[in-house]
Amino acid sequence: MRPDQGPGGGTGNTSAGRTAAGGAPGTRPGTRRHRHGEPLPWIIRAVFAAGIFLAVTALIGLLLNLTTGLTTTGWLIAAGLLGAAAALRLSTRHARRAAEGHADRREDDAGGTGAGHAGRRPSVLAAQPGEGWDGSGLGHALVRARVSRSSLRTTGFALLAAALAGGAVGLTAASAGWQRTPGFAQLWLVPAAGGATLGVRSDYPGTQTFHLELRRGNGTTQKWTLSLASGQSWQRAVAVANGTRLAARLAAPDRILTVEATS
Amino acid sequence: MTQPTNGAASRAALAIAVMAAGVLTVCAAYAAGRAGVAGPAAHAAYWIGEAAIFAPPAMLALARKAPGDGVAAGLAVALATATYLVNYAYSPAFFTFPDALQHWRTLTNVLATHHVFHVNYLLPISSGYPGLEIDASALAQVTSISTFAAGLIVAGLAHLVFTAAIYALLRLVSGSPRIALGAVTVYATNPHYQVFDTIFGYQTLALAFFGLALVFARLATRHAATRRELVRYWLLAAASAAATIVTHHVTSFMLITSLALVAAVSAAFRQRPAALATSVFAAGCTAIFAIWAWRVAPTTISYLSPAASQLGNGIGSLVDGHPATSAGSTAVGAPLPFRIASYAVTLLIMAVIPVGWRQVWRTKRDDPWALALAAGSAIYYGCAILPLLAPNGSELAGRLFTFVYIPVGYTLATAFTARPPALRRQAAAAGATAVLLAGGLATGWPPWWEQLPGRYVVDGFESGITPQGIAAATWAGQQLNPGQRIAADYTNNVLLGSYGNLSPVNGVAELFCGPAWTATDAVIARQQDINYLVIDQRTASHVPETGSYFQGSAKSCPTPIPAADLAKFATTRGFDRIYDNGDIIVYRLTEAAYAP
Repeated sequence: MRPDQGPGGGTGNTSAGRTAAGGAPGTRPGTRRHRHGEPLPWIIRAVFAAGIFLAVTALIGLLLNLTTGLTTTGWLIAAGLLGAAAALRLSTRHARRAAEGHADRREDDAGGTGAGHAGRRPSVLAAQPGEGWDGSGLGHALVRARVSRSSLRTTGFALLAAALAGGAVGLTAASAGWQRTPGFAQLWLVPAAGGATLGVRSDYPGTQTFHLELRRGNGTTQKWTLSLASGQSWQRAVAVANGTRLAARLAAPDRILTVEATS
Repeated sequence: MTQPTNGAASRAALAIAVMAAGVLTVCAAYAAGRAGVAGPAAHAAYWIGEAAIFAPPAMLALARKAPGDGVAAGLAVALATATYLVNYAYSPAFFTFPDALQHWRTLTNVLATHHVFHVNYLLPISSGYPGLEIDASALAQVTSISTFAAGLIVAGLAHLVFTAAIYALLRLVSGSPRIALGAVTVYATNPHYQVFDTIFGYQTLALAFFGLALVFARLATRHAATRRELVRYWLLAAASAAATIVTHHVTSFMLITSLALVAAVSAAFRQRPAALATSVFAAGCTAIFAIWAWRVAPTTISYLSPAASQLGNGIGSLVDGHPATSAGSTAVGAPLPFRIASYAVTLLIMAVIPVGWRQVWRTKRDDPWALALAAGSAIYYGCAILPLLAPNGSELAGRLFTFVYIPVGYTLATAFTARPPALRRQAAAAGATAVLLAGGLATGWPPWWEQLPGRYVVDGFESGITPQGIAAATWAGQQLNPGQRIAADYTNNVLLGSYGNLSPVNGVAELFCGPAWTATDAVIARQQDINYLVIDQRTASHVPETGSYFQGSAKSCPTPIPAADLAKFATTRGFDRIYDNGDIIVYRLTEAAYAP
């Protein structure tokens, strides 16, 4: 048998091993441990917990949509109810395990099979780190790391990985603003009942001066000189009779913008 | 039982450090792109970084000493984390992928109204499948973080969960951490794994639930499951399936199909309990999905039917001896190495799958899940000829790869590890993995012309998004009534539909082309009830890499569009020029514009 294949599976598994998917290494078919199967590594179970949380949240959201709506209060109430249910479940499980442990001890004292420890593990998903799976795992080693040269090396590599990943995120965050785009301005003239809305916004770096000119259909002209910081807007309501033609012209640092509309 | 060894942990930690170095290298390439210095060195850094991310899991899967469960699982999760960081690094400040922007709009609507199912003009179907937006809105509301951050976190978690689920499923089926890690590594080379299935999109989250549903169904159909386990696993499977159904249509369909395949194989091999249980579960999922699509998301059929009818027409054309010409592949028009890689990966997979079949039949013939996975990998051959069947066959095939690569990964990993590792076989498998990665990156996302960010490409995907476009769309969202119908080029339609909350109209390229506004244009504008037209002046000076400025139009405009064509609106009666930012101009159509 190849080293990666326990009796429960693998490309060269035996028919006895195939009776349970992933049976725990070193266990005989028919024992309680074998029946429970081999647990998944803790890291997989931790990620699964997050996935189940997302699934339950999506389903609860549909219920909230029918009741309170998806509000902060609704979510907090739902979280509270779920937390209470989880606490109740944990306490009943703890009581049950205690009872099972008591029964197992009595069985062992009476000369049982010796599979009682495995029998206390309730399921593949609920197994504890270090139980039943190939102990060469990273998680297990992290849990039970001892001060040795090897564990120091592991810690060093882990720190190096964290530093490199942190550097990647830091470089990404820093470079997010590196993309150079030319500054620009926005000019708008939106018709509305009894007039229009005239507006300007600067997206140039720093503070810039703009010259704005508004021409009405009757030939009158209105001018403004605006000093706008980056991201700053200026807006005015222009009152004119319905059907009046309006045209505006903005002299920005590097270009002329124009708008035109009938109120 | 093997005792824990710190040596294995050291190797795993070193592998993760190498993967982190790969992520840093890709991020440096992206930073160079944003800084405007994306030369050959930056492109080389991108490929080296990607290779560094994939090499450790591939090497450990092929190593003489097989990885243990913890190491293999840890590396699978590390691979998901690394690829997610790469995806994040491409657009770290805001969503730029068009599909992500579409869902961001739905999320914004949920936060504004505190209810789901509100119309999203940009992607109407998405409001009928609100699982993603529910999760992201919950996170944003409870923690007060931005919608962008909430979206990133939910999508990132989903990516991890999906990858972990694939690992767990294939670990349970194969019984081998080596095969499971190899299969996940092969899966991660699929063209959409790193971007499209990782973005803030409903499929990203639905895939996580899809994976969980399959894992729990697998656990529940084991011979060894106790009654308590059965109840627990079926409940978890049902919850995961329900979450899939309320999150994404195609993923729900694929979940039902996968379960039906397992049920059929179980029945064929006389495994009646498993066949019955899986059939009942598949039937339940089908019923819930049908009710959901009928009562809650009635546009599902009309949304998906065009792709189905195109496929049907394509098959008919192929039978008639007139195969369709696909234009959807990102490798179309790509440099020669990209095209070679795309063909090489197809040939490689098609050649190795039968080897995997033989091995699965030899060792796992009494496991219906293993046989179903092997059978599912046969769909790859269908995907390979999809570009000949439908005009957008390449895109359809790419979408299917998200699901087909799961059985393909299992079958290939089984083939690669069929015999004890020897140097020659290890080298061959490593070379095959390199081809898979190169082919996946060459045909995947982002396309070759925007593999590094920073370069402006008119009506590109991420590379078409600029501050000017966002500014115009944001202004429209503040100044114009929601839902007004607006016609623009591809990128501005996406921005105006998301930031602007307007209703984009596609397929009207003819309005923009031509030197004069004609009576036909006026009729089209009236029929489409268009309120605003948006001109992007850059379409008169830049050529689109995708071949078109507009989406869904039978008529194509010249590239670039003549400036006179765009200037015609300024002198045509009935157009109010209400917005100008130098690059983008918004015209309001009045009654006169509709006059024939």
